[in-house]
Amino acid sequence: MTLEAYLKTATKGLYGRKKLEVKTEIEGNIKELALEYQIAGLSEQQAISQAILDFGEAQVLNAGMVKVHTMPKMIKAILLAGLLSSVALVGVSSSLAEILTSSVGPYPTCPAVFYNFTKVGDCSPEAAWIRLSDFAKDVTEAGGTFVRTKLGFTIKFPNDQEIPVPLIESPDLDINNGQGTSKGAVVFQKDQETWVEFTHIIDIIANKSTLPVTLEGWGNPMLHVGKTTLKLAQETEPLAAFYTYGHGIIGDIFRSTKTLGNYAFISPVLTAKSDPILATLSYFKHQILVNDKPGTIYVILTKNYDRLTTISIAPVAADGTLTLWLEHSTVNFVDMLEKLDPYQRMIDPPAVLVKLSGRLDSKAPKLEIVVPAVTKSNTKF
Amino acid sequence: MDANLLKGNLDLILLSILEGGEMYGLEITKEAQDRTGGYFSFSIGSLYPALHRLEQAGFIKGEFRPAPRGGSPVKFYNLTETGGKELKARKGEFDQFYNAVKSLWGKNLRGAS
Repeated sequence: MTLEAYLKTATKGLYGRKKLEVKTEIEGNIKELALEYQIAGLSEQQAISQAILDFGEAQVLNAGMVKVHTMPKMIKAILLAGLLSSVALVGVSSSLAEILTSSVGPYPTCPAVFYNFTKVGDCSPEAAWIRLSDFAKDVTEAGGTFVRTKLGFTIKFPNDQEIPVPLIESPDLDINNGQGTSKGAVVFQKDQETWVEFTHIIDIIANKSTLPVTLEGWGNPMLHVGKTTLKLAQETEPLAAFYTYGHGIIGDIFRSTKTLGNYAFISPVLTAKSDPILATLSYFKHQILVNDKPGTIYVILTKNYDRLTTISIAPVAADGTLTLWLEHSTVNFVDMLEKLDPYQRMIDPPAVLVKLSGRLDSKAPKLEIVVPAVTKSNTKF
Repeated sequence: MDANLLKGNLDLILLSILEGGEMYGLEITKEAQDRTGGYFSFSIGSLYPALHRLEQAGFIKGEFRPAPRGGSPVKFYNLTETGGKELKARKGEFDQFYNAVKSLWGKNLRGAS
């Protein structure tokens, strides 16, 4: 068994950051043990194989880790889902007609890391899942139409055209690589209910609707389609907001500039000092005054060779500032993409600060680039 | 040794080892073997879930740092203040249990003589 295969089995069923954490820990210890075997005279490959044998069966390690990390979360999620179902119903009956609320689902039992789907049944636990039957009800009550079809469903908002949303169980497709459009929304089935990723629905609607589409918010990103607003019944994981923006507006930037894009989002939440992985790395805290509406999302882009790279993303706080963490101690904000240096430098690299407020017109994209007047940086984290 | 005996006392064993100072997984395994003359021999992989469980309970705290020989980071574990208290309580319980069992053996011996 290769180290990669061992780690994959050992971390199966773990989610997001925890998965990465366990993988890093086990990998580090196996390599450390292998080093001892190498010193004793084994080849690198033999040493790794022997170290893996010493660690015992990956399935045993995995079962133990799932029991510690995943099972309690799942039980909590199932209880929460039960609670949310009733919350969602209350929300629908008391909300304004144009507000849609949909229940957030339990995390699927099939684990995966987003953008790293490997087989049918893999899911994205960090993203927000909504129950399709609730969503259908909400759309209808908001004056739209929802029809199940052979391939998935169609949805139509007031004064809009019909939007087909194919549902795919195999996510091993080009969902969104910054170069194209979504081919479908990933689903999983549980207890005869269909659950769909909220970000995929947003992506498809944003690509197909004829109405003006804007996206705002952080913990609970909202999509405005004409006069209709889609939002979740409750706040979701910050990662879901990343993906929502990645699917929508940032994808537009990559497409409109005809460059390949890299996502390297660093979230204020994820860089909390308590994070054991990120705590081993050095980040610099940058505070930027933009005097914009709280919740508005900004992203910093730099260039690395031919690739535009999103290096940090954050919402505006109540005092009109952004707090971003970067690997760079200082950043030179410029006013156009053409001024970006093709070689990413660690000291004072040119970067653009872009306001993300709506989808871009592919024929005449206009990036809202902001050159901040006041920045406070160089605070080592 | 009986695997159930080890399993039932794994927390106590791990907390006792970490009382000696911070260690990462592989070191903990070696320490257990060295200090008990090989009596405690874990399957290395089974150790990590137990460490994570103790960390979740707040008895130990992990921190990623580069391994002693460099290369990939490993997670170093430390006993927390709560963990210290827990260890003290478990040691007491274990002593009590051990003494109780020993006293039974004593009675059997007397009965046999």
